[in-house]
Amino acid sequence: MTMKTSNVLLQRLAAEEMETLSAHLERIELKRGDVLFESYLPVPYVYFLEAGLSSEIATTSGKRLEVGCVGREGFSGASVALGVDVTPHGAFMQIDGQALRIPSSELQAAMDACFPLRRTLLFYIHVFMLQIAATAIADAKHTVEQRLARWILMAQDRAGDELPLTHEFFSLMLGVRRPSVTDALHVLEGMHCIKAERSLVIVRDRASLRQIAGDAYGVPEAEYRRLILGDGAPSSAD
Amino acid sequence: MPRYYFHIRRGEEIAMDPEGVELASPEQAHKEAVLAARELLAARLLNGEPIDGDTIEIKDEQATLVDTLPLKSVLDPKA
Repeated sequence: MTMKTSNVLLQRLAAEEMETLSAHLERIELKRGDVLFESYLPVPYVYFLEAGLSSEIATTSGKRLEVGCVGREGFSGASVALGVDVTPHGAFMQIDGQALRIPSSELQAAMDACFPLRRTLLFYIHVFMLQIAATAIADAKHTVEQRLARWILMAQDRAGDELPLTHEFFSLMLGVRRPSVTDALHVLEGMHCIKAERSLVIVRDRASLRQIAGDAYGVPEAEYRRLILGDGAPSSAD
Repeated sequence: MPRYYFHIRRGEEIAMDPEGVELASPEQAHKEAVLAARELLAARLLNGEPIDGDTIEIKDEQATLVDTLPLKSVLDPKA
């Protein structure tokens, strides 16, 4: 019997491909703060998220900064799929969820044996690289409000309308001090895009968030639709 | 450690800090507010937004005002 999953990458696999893989997949609950892999340490498992939200983190001058996020559209541990043993980045859970995890060596063996799996994962890594580039562009070219709007949109894509996130977390995500988060959340709330409560952001108006984020959001998302979901020709967002 | 809240006043409006942060002393809170004010001031300037009346109000757990820091005050690096 084929394993059912809400991970979108695994859903793209044919039944027999999924069956080969499922012998090595283990479903696991993940709590906020759980570490998926650590900087410069061997990556034991690759996580195909089914719910929740994880962050890939880089460290600079002792400060942590998010460079990318992964939910049920992807998997955590791109370096493993590229055949790399350790990576300077780390990853941990931002919002509770669950995942199907597979030992890294088993994933590498499966990718060697199964071309469709390999192609799907490499397509996803291309999208993830674009997401990291989009983070760099946003940090260089966009205001804190725009970056916050982008980040809330990405979190909503993966975790739904109610995001249990603190100002402290947003501060890490956006690489700004906490009061800048307080300030930007207040601006978005004043425009009725979100409702911000203690440790909770509720999305109220996605269209307005899109407007504020502008082209800070949408390029990796459009590539994901094209390559992974097979939805349409190359295009800019929307 | 005591918890300090950094509310940001923008004219009549106030952006509330619902979470606060644990810091050793009011002096530490003031230092933190200076760093925050520099960042907020820089963003306001870049965005061409007014900064005149904007302040950071530091409150303690009893909601007592500990310190008020006008954003403009950090234009002097020794502030």
